[in-house]
Amino acid sequence: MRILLVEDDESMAATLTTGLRAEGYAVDVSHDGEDGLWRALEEDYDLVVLDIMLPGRNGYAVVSALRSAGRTVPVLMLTAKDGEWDQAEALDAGADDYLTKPFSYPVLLARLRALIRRAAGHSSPVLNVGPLSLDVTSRRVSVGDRSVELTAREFAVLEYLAHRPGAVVSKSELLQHVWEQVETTDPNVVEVYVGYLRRKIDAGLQEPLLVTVRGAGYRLGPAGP
Amino acid sequence: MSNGERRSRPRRPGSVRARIVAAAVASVGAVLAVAAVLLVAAVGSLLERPMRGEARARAAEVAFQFQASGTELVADRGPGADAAPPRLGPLAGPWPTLAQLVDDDGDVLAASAELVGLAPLLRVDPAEREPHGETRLRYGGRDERFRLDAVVATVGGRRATVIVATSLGQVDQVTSALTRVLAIAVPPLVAVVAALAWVLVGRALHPVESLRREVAALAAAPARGPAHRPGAAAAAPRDEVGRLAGTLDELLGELARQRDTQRRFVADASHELRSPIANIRAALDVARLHPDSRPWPEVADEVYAQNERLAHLVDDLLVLARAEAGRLRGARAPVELGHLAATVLDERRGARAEERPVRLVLDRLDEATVEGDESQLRRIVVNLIDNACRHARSEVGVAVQTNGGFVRLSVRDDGPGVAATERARIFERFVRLDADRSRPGRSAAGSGLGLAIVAELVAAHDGTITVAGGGPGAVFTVRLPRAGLSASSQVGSGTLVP
Repeated sequence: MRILLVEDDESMAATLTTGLRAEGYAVDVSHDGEDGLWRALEEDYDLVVLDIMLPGRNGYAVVSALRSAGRTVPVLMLTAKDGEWDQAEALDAGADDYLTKPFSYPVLLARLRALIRRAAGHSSPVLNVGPLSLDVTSRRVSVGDRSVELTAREFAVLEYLAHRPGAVVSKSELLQHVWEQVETTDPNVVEVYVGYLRRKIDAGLQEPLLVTVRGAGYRLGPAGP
Repeated sequence: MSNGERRSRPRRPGSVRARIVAAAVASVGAVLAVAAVLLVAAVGSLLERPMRGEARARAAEVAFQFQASGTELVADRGPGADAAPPRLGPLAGPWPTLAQLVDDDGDVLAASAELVGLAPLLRVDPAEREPHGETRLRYGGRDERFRLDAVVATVGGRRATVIVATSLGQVDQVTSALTRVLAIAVPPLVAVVAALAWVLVGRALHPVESLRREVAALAAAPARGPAHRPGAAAAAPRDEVGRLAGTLDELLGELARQRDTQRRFVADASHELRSPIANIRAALDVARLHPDSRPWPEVADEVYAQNERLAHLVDDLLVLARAEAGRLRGARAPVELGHLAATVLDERRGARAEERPVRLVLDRLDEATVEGDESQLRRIVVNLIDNACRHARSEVGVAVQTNGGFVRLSVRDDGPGVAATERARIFERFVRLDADRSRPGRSAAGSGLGLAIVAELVAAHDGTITVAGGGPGAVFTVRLPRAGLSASSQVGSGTLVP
């Protein structure tokens, strides 16, 4: 999952980047409103974490501009302002959630997961595709009764695919949403990770779950409608 | 004010109005009553005035009738000589009139029919010029008031007195009718005055009541009082009450402004205090959850830096709180400002070496002593230099020079400068110009309190601070009174000191 973090406080931005990367998210950081809006419009993010007090263009303005451009990306506002009107204004401007600084980092993570879940159209934190079960919260994966150990990157690839069961996901899309340095990363790395995943998941299954669709990309589970 | 309110506290809110109305009613009522009494008396005496003249005519008529009757005027007819004196015929005139003819001895010589058998009605004192009096007589079946006039007449060559009694019945009728009219007309007049006074006083006091309500609301909830509507008293007339309303209106406006400033300050302060706390917490949370994501010394550095930021902020806020309480005026001692500036400059050169390469230059250094608190003066210099370094492109210049009775400390930079419209705002708390914030590396930006603190400290040292230069470059100039000069100028102004 690729996250855009718009935060002008360098310390906070560095801390969150470290933490979110350790969680397996791909994180891009922007330090002002103009740049943040530009990135959010240019790239396809799974989530935007937005500070309100920003130089250039404040958080309300950024989220309004995003929404009027027709972007539905989930936005979580993060700010030290705690007036009730600030929260109301943030939500009314188009934000999906709001967290007041100082916040609890585990709560932030939980809210990010909830936003991603809802954006993908699920309510349960456990994603099921055939015999595969993926718990987004505890990051546990099992196939049938067998539990599977995955690295953070492998989990991220599988999570992205599990949110879209039956749909074909292209190699470049996976690259965009799971890896950070998209321009400098060899697209073949995707093949490599899908190979790792296939070995761990499809072992012992008669019908393979992770399918390569030649010339198009990858698919988890049987082809959807 | 509503009726309900008046009823629940009968003597309080309406008391001024009621007192004014009561006073108006009492005075107007008293004046009208006195005027009515005087009017009735005046009308009575006006109607009576022609009676004296008429009495003379009647006296002449009596003398003529008496002579015509042929009765002799006997000096002394002896007791019981005649049982009854001759009667006088009816007399002419506008009012019913009766008469007695009395000789000098007080004997009745003749009388009108109604007066037969009566002693002289009036005892005449010869010294009196126009003797007159009053009595009540039965006349025409009624008891009536009569005016008595004594007129000297000559009857048959002898002196006699005619006592003319003129009926006051008509006069009494007129005055009693007038009294009735007044008794009916005066009370409604007083009532009209009362109503008019009630309405007018109420209208005059109306702005007072509405302002009272507004002030009461403000007093009940000073922090969350209703937003002041300026010009609530604008509709009030420009009289004393209107002016009072205007003054109160301004006061309320000022209170509202102060409340807004206070609210903004609290919001800004909490935002600034929360940021480092949030950063520390996030850094620790992440380090705990992902122990391998970041080396612990790095986390410690981060937390330390944020803690420093917090400490500085709290320190600055405390200085401002002391300024607010008027407790900035510390110890006063002579401080050599030139020396102080040079020292601070040296320290800053060392401290900022690892940061952005800004050259610190000493432009001019006069020997200049000011009276003040050294640590506070140092803070002025430090904050100004830090502020300049934050905005400078490559160079910051400091100058200390004497100018008459003043010492001028100026700090210049070659940054973007301060727009004329921002110059007043820049000394307010938590004001960071946008150029400030968009600069890469937010940590380079200050808390937004540095210049506010400088302004407070300069004011506490009886100085002034100005900013000039719309870019490139800004110059902050602090003007402080020179130490010792105030004493010598006093000497110059007349006192001779050996």
